[in-house]
Amino acid sequence: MPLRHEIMSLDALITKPPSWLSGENDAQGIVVSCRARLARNLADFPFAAKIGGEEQQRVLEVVLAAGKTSRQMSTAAFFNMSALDGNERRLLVERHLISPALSEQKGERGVLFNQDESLSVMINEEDHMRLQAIFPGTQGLAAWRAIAALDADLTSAVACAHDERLGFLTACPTNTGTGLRMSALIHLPALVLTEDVERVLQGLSQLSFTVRGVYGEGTNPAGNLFQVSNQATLGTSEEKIVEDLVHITQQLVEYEKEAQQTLLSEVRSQVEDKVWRAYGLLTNVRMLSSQEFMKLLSALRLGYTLGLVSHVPSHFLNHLMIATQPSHLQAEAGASLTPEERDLRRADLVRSKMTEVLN
Amino acid sequence: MKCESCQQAEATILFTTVSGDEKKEVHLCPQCAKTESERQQEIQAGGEPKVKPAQVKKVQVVVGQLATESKTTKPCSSCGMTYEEFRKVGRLGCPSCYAAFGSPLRRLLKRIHGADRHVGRVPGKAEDAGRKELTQLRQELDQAVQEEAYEKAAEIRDRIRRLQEGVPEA
Repeated sequence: MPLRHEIMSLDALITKPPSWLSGENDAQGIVVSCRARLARNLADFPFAAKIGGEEQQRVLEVVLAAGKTSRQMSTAAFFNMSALDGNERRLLVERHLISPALSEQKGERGVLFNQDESLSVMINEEDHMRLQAIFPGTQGLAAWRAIAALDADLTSAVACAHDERLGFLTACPTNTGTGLRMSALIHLPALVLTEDVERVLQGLSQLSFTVRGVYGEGTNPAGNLFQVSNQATLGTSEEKIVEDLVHITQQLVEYEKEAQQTLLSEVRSQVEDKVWRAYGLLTNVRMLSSQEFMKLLSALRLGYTLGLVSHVPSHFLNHLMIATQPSHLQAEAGASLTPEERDLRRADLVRSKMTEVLN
Repeated sequence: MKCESCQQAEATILFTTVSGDEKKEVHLCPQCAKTESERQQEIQAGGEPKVKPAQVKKVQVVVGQLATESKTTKPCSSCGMTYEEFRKVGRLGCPSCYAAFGSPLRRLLKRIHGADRHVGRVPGKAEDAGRKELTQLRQELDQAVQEEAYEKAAEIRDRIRRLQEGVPEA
């Protein structure tokens, strides 16, 4: 079977944002998205550490054939990593369609994804198959249902590495069992400002959930965006993991809202100033680094959550977040850009979009 | 591996001390481990408080078959990966490694996940494995009761309870 049967080009891809950035059900901009990921392997092939080139090729073929028979992936696009250049691969990373590891690894590997980019399957990453569903806002349960249906179709079409006692067998023992990692992308600016975030996040680790900054490290990540995810995959059912994530996400939203109210009652003017200052900068800026942009975007998102700048909705902010990333800027320009050129283009793009949303 | 303290005898024990936020691991022979264990106990008891007692959260001797496990566990016959190699790269070589590395791997899984038995889905089906297992256990229970094998029945009944409560089996 042909290994290159993409039905969309990368140029077409960047003209529309992925569906998970639609801002639907996002608790006024606090929960950007929820993601479900399943690690699956074929029973009759070695894992990545011991697999040969021909076997990888065979895995690719088997998974693509299974994808064809599935209800969700029969019309999916497929991109073979070896057919893409560095910028094109990073573009897929920026859209969360592939991992940095898949982008940088050697060997036969690729990704299948559906039209709205809500479902994808990485082939020959750490595991033979990495299934992913991303949904906007707090829809963790919807993401789980979507991936469970895809999983049922794919694993009934292939011989899957599974053990009655240990469940799904994965390359890394941290994924053994369900192979399920549920996560939510959450914006917690007020908890960072009130310095409560560390305490709140420490509480999570006791629930066997971890939190990390999405861009940058520590408890003060760029853009105040955090990713919460489950740690254990063995001994806990999928339903329980999903339920826990949904519950924890709701709690974090409550904590963030409380912190926001505290800020408003104690330092309202400073908060308003922070939001409008970001607004002013983003509508007038001429050079914009990605780090500064993430900071300003966070302030504007906080403004949206508080109802201060309701004409700048969260889906607009989400789309900007993707469109301003380096590989997206370069794809849009059709050329590779120096960091300085990127900062210029980023500023241009943000200014023009801000003007659009005002009119 | 030689003992990191005396540099002579074979290290068979992974000695872990946790002091404050700092975790230290050394590979020791049984003799040195005993000496070190006594020393740590003295420290805890306030004998020679090199570390403030309050800071010593936990002093633990992991009777580490870890060092010996690497040697006694046979390589995976399917892909050739050794347990030592796995410990180095942190990734298994193929699905058969799970069976090949049997009990040391199960102990590792238990440390990572706090459980070593899967509860959840099976390939290709939307129904979860737990439910399937429950049905099977109930049949086994009926059978045991019919055969008047009450000890066995009690054992199965406990397993059903644990499954229903979602408690991983020991």
